[in-house]
Amino acid sequence: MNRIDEFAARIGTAGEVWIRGAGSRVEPPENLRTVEAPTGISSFEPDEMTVTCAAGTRLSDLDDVLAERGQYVNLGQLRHPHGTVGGALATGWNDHLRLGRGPVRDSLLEVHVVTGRGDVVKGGGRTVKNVSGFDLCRLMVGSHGRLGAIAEVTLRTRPLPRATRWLSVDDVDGSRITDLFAHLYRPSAVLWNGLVGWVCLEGHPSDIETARAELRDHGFPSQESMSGPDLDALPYRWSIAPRAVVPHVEERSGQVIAEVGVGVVHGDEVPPRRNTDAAIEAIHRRLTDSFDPEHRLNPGAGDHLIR
Amino acid sequence: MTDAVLEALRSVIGSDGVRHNDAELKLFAHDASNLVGEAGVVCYPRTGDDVCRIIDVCRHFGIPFVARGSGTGLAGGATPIGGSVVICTTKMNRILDVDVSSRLAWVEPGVLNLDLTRHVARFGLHFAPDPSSQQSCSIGGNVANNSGGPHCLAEGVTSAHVLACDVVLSDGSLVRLGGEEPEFEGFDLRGAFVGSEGMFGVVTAICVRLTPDPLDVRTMLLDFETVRAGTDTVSAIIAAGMVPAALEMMDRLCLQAVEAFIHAGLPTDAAAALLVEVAGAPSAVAADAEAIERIGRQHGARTVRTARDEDERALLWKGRKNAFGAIARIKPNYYLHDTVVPRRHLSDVLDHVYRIAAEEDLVVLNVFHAGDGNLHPLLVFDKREPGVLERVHRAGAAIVEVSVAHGGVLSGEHGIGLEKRDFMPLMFSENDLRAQGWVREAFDPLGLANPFKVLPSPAGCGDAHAHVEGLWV
Ligand SMILES: Cc1cc2nc3c(=O)[nH]c(=O)nc-3n(C[C@H](O)[C@H](O)[C@H](O)COP(=O)(O)OP(=O)(O)OC[C@H]3O[C@@H](n4cnc5c(N)ncnc54)[C@H](O)[C@@H]3O)c2cc1C
Ligand SMILES: Cc1cc2nc3c(=O)[nH]c(=O)nc-3n(C[C@H](O)[C@H](O)[C@H](O)COP(=O)(O)OP(=O)(O)OC[C@H]3O[C@@H](n4cnc5c(N)ncnc54)[C@H](O)[C@@H]3O)c2cc1C
Repeated sequence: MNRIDEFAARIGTAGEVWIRGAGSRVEPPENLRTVEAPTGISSFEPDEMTVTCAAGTRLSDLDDVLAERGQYVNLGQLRHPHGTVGGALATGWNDHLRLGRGPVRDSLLEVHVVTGRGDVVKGGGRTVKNVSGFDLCRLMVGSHGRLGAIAEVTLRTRPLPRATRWLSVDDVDGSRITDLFAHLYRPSAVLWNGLVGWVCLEGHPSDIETARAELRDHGFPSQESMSGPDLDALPYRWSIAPRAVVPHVEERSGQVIAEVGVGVVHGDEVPPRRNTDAAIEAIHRRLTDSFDPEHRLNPGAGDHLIR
Repeated sequence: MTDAVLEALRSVIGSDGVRHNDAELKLFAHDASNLVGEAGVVCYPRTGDDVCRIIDVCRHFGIPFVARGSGTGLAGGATPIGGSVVICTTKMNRILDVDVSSRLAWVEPGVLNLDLTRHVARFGLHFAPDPSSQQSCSIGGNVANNSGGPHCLAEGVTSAHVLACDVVLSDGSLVRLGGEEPEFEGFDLRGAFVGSEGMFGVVTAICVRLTPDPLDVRTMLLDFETVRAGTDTVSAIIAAGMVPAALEMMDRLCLQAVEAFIHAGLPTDAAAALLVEVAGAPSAVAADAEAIERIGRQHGARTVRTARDEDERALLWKGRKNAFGAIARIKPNYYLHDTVVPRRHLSDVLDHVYRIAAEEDLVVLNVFHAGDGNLHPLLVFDKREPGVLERVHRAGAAIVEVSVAHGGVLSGEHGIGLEKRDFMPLMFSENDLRAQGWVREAFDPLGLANPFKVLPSPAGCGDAHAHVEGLWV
């Protein structure tokens, strides 16, 4: 039996079950049967820029193997390096370099999942480009495992940047942040707390130097910063339209750090619940009813998110 | 089409938006693939509300509908089957909003791909997906097919550039999938919708990401004595940690055809040439260009021609983007294929493609996105030759099979539509296909949106072939 079928057999066809990654963020509800995904990298092809691995593989193990060949895969692990590949995909959270590196959902090329019915289903394909059939991969990213337990994936890798440099710029208020952003060519991140801007530039060292000099010439002198601001102190994430970031930050009384150009705002206030459209909820329901008719996979996971 | 349906459609969107004359019905019976179906009536909505009203009528009478942009699709996606209602978006062509500082725009689905890029050029921005058909294809069609283009190697295909879609579902309701906000509650329905080939609903407004123009660009043409030397160069460039903006290949016959057409001084005696573009910040561009030239020479590149100015760059791209015009001079008809294979198998698969064409006594030219392993064998023929269509059909099937056998996939960018529907089992098991069917049913439980495409119908569920002529060519 291969490792995917073996995982499917452990999940079975009846009874509630919790798929456990590293358990780094979300602990399973008590008394729930837990199953861990298989582990191990089955193939890494640097000249294809793809890697195939089992979902239980630790992000840090994957990072190490890819780094040996100067590559990485974007799974949001800069913020959260301790989890598994499956956990990162099931939750779909992005780290703060999304502006430059893109969203996690764009990293998944092929996925094998075990549905609530116990069937193994493949979506996508191993090549870097593919439009054969409907996009099951994107549906699985951020699904909290409610449509299927992720068994094995093929991911798109990217070359590690030649250099990564953080700068901080003082005295950036709401009237200047848009200007600062406009003067940067494809930064990897621009973070802002209403007073200070932090900029992450990636690429050729001399391009970074040039960009820094140009910022200075436009009235934005910068200091080197180790790694940008500390986001861990701000437990909540708001998700707003990028064009709403400046007024949002200016109106908040508590602490915030916004991802400019992206629209994620880290803060110490709980974000409001959003209303979901009835038609969207109906699509959600039909999806879960088909993939997991008894709603036995990861009961409660992401419940506030998936209704 | 019954008079009652026509009357109902006229009453909801006005009689000038509803066409039922033979000329238009004939024109809309196919897309650019020549897979001919049957259009019942053609509707031209002007707004999203019009689309809701048309779909309400379809639902009331239980008639399927097919969205259509510019009809440049190559897989029969917009080919109506059995007298469907064609919903043509050409009159929904407004750019609704451009937010320069957040680098996004809202457009109606009928906006042409290149028109958006032209519109935002003044802000130093562009819409990254650039299909070779970009002058004429619609952004709605790009979304439905998740289209690619030469510059999608570094920037990603359409899905990476779509933030939100306003969609009319088959029950007539309008929903927003995704949004300007980056993170959502619930499943990524936006992601599922992109690439759904008109089978999940009709998109009436799209929020796209705009990409800043590069600070510097270098365009190079490298030519080789063997195809393998060229494809090895491609793999070596990627393995060295570079993702050029574009990495395109043309084989000898293609170079010759294009040169006769545009006189760009292309190396017509080479077995293959690579068009490589690097773009970005100046030092990175210079370093990558130097490394690519070195890698090319190590792999036997005879010459490396670097465009000296914008004119020469445009000329080199003109050769690439006008290959289709050039081949019309060889034979009147063509069948353009689209499969993807792992890059390292490119030259083996190309060898098979040449062999398959020779066995069927067909002329084949290759011009393709080598950087992502996306082959585009172009079979040229004269359909008046007796028996030629069967040979083209057989060659096409053999090319798909050989690609999949080398770890490849059925389509990189043109989609499945009708053309490759019955090849889906080559890549997907019954379970896989059933799961894809669930997703379609979740969006369209009534099954009215562009039925009979993409998913092979299980035996006994009605045979769409009966309604389609000219399958394959
Ligand atoms: C900046 C940042 C902040 C984050 N903050 C939070 C947070 O506050 N709360 C939060 O919940 N997450 C958060 N995450 C997501 C967090 O990274 C993931 O929970 C983590 O990657 C999980 O990895 P794990 O292996 O430890 O998974 P676990 O913690 O074990 O599981 C996480 C969830 O994924 C499911 N899961 C795990 N593996 C699979 C699989 N193979 N198939 C299907 N489902 C699976 C689990 O059932 C569970 O619902 C954050 C991520 C980032 C990048
Ligand atoms: C010469 C030539 C070169 C080409 N080059 C490329 C290339 O480089 N890359 C590439 O990817 N493709 C290429 N194509 C294929 C084609 O141009 C693309 O697939 C394009 O995106 C189709 O757009 P369209 O507006 O013509 O869509 P149509 O052909 O009208 O429709 C295509 C599909 O989209 C659906 N659709 C259209 N509008 C909507 C809507 N509003 N809502 C829901 N569904 C909708 C239709 O139902 C159909 O399934 C090429 C075609 C030609 C003829």
